[in-house]
Amino acid sequence: MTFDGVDDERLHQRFAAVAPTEVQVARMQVSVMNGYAQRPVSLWREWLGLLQARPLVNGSLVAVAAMVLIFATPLGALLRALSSLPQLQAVVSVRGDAATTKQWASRNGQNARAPASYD
Amino acid sequence: MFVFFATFYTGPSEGPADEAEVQALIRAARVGNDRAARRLYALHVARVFRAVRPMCGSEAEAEDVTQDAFITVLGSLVKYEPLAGRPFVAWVLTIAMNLARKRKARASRTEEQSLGPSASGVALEETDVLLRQKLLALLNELPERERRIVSLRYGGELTADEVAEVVGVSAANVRKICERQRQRLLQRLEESAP
Repeated sequence: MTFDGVDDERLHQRFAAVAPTEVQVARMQVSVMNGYAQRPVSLWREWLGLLQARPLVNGSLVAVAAMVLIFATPLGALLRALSSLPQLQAVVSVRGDAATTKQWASRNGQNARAPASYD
Repeated sequence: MFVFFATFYTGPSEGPADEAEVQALIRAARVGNDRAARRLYALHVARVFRAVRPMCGSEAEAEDVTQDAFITVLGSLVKYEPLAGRPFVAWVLTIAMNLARKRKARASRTEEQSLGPSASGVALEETDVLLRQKLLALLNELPERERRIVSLRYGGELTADEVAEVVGVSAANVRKICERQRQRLLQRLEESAP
């Protein structure tokens, strides 16, 4: 208790006269809980709410949805392409070098000397 | 992982709560636990209303301020940072008092003081109504800052140090004002007692 003196306690008791009635508390609670339900919620919290409501059913649905998204849409192809990106880069760099040499040769004639780096 | 389990808060739904339980409720309500939010409201609504009522012109205005304060509080729990020696209710009361002040600045204070059964929706005892009327009239005579201090101290049940932090004056000043006004209020209330 935050009241140490007798008079402190007496005045605190008098303040009970301005306390809200049960009807007022219930009325305010409806508005407060409506306001709480309508507050802005981030997307991941909505997903969390779904899992909280029915963990098994909604968890399974989320897993199925993720599989469908990966295997039945271009997203899967994109992910596979990204996973093979290092190999692709290696091929492109080799082909790129060959093309550069060919271009240089055609521009300077077949008999022209190649630069030192190509000797 | 914590966030996931916090949404399943299953603490007691009635009775008093210590500050540790209040902090657990806040963590649960932050991630959308309705039950925790409802309990936070139930734990603090009476203190907030009692503190706000003398700052408002009518019961309806006090209800609006209280519910707006709770909507703001529950909607911005992510911004709340627990401080040592400062309970959660002090933060709630700061928001409620600011809302009451803003509302008062917007609309000029009405002298309505409607205190009868129609105001609360429940028939109160005649002596309760008289006491409420008298107390509010006496508090209304105080300068605004002193009324705020007395309301927070006796209605909001804050300590003198907590009131000092909310209002922005020294704790010694709060004690002095409370002592002076307490004597005056009790004397006047007893004079008018039947």
